[in-house]
Amino acid sequence: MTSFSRRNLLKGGAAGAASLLLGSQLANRAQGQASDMQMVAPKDRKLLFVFCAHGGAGIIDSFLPVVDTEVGDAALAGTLDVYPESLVERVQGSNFRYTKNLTNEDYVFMKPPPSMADLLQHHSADMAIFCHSVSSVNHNVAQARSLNGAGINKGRTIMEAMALRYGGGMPLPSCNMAMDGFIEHGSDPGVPQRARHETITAPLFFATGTHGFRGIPNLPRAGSIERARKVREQLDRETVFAKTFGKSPVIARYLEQRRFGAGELEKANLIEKLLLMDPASIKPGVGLTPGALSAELFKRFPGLMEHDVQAQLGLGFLLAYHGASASVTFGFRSDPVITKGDGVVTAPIAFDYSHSGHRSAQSVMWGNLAALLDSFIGLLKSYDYMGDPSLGKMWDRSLIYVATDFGRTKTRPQDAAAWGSGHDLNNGSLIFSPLIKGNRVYGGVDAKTCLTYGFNRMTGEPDRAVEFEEAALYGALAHVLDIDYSGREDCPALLKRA
Amino acid sequence: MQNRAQVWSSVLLLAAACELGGAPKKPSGSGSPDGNGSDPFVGAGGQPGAQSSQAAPPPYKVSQGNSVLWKRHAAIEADLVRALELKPEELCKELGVRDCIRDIHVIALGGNDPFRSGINVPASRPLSTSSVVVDRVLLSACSARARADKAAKPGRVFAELDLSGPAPKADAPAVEATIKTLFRRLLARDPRPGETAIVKTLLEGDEAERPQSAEEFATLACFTIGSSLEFLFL
Repeated sequence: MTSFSRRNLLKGGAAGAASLLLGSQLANRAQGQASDMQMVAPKDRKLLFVFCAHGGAGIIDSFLPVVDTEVGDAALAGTLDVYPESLVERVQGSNFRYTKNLTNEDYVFMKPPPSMADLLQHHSADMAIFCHSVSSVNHNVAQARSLNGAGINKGRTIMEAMALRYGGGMPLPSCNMAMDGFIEHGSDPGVPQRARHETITAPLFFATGTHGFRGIPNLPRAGSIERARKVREQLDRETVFAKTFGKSPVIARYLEQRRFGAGELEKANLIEKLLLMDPASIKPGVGLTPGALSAELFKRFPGLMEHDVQAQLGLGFLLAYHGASASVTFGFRSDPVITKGDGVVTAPIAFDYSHSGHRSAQSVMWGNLAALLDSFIGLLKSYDYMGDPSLGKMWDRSLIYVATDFGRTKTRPQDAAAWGSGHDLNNGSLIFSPLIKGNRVYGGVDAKTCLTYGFNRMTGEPDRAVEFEEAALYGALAHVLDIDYSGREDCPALLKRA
Repeated sequence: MQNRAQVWSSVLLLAAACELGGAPKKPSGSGSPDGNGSDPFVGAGGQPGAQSSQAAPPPYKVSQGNSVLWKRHAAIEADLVRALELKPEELCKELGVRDCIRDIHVIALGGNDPFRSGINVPASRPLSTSSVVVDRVLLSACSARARADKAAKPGRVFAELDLSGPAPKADAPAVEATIKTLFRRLLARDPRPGETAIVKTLLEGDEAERPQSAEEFATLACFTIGSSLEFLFL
């Protein structure tokens, strides 16, 4: 039996004070250089790409559709989000089904999307559906939880965990181009600042922010600017302001980044390596030449200059290819992609346009998502990591997680062909990687309810009694990516090499 | 019982002090210039110039709190517009096309982007690219002012310099006058002698580092003062 003596209480009080002090030290350490970030040799690194399907991408409206005849009750089927057989198709060699395009008129003002078939034809072997539910139908909350496993790993996002595991020595270990809840940092104050993502809102021009003066015409010589930086350092030591406030955490952080910027960031020459501009559009006198890969990116993503998501994928590829990042996050934004040639390519407010037109919004967004992923995975399969054949293809070490807020409601007005849907906790997520046992649905869908169910994490066998949430999905991703933490829910069934 | 209460109140006080990072309401400054933390300038690179006050402890109190504010995009833009008498669109155009401050680098400069990216709350602290972006903005704006002053005499900011001529000598009166003007315009105060001497060292060093023209000196002096901590934090 514990005795609550004064000595024990004092010990407890001291421990409490010590823990607060430790918390403070942790917070201070988080500002500094990321000593906790692991340095991993290129050959042993993994890459994480998170594609954020903003607004609620329903898995039963893409690669896990229910055919109306499978319900076994025509009247019930008429009230569910099920598809006629004519709208569901397979490709040879793939265990997944996919929903075919609707008629052009169904898309009203939007351009009919590309077929989802190409993605399955090219990458089914490395694709899995992980059936699960989520714990919130609030967009921002659900988006954040899709990335932090509802707080399972001390509140760290999977991208932060990735940066800690593989990002040591990288100039920008984690970059994030998504929006809303997908762009929230994790809640663990012990995560070093460098492991938190760099927010990017203008991917085409982001490269320019990696160098203090290159690309600005009519400036003094580089040597003069470098000297001016040193003089500034000396001036900062001399001012009363800096002497008084130099120890402020925000200034300490700024000074650390100033050293980093002039050191690692500029020396990595990311300004040219990451430059996505069409060389013809760069004015003479700017003195910048896009990297050799830019031309190839313009071939794979021909709408790159107008299509924001294509630009994100192009930049994400370059960040990973050059070894600058271990994790890159991208995704659809709220505003639709509109191009001169194609008009309205994606839905306004992305998947959430399902409130107004469920079937057309899901179809147009999934079709575009599939086409973008098809091109991106093709790119990763084509290039050696860091341009070094001895390291193998980028794809060999990659995992793509398609994160979304939640599912959509599974019902519709009786026999309606067009309707608006709400938010539903039940859904499933797409994972692509050569590191997983692909071409497989982990879990399944109940035709009579259109609700998904889970599976046995050891064998992968479907189990209607199992319902996973965000923590299980986070654990499975972490398991594949070799990210360890206390309480991880392993998923041996998913791993190719258990 | 009273003793126990006193012990607990001491523990809680200690804990609160730890969590707040020191004594927030009473800045220390009783003769310890360094406070009790590490020197934030350590590892800051070379230290040109002979001026230094490291030997004698300064008579300033060193804040141990966290009351400094990061000057963010809109404030930087407004201050540069006022100080350099440029229009917002003249300050910095990335690759000559898009606005640096309000568009391309708005997040790195501490701004938000609610409609495009859903970033309603800006970053609480500078990002990895923030300092580099600040350098770009200042160099671009200072260079634009120097070019404009060179084209239209008398110049608005660099009126004391012959911007068509070579870089002046460090002891030229125009140099000191220019430094004073820049301090007043950017930091709203006069420079102290030590600070003037430090900025003058821009004109020293070897050939590869020295500005080649008065216009370059104007740009570099403006950049040095405008990207200092005193301009960027409040």
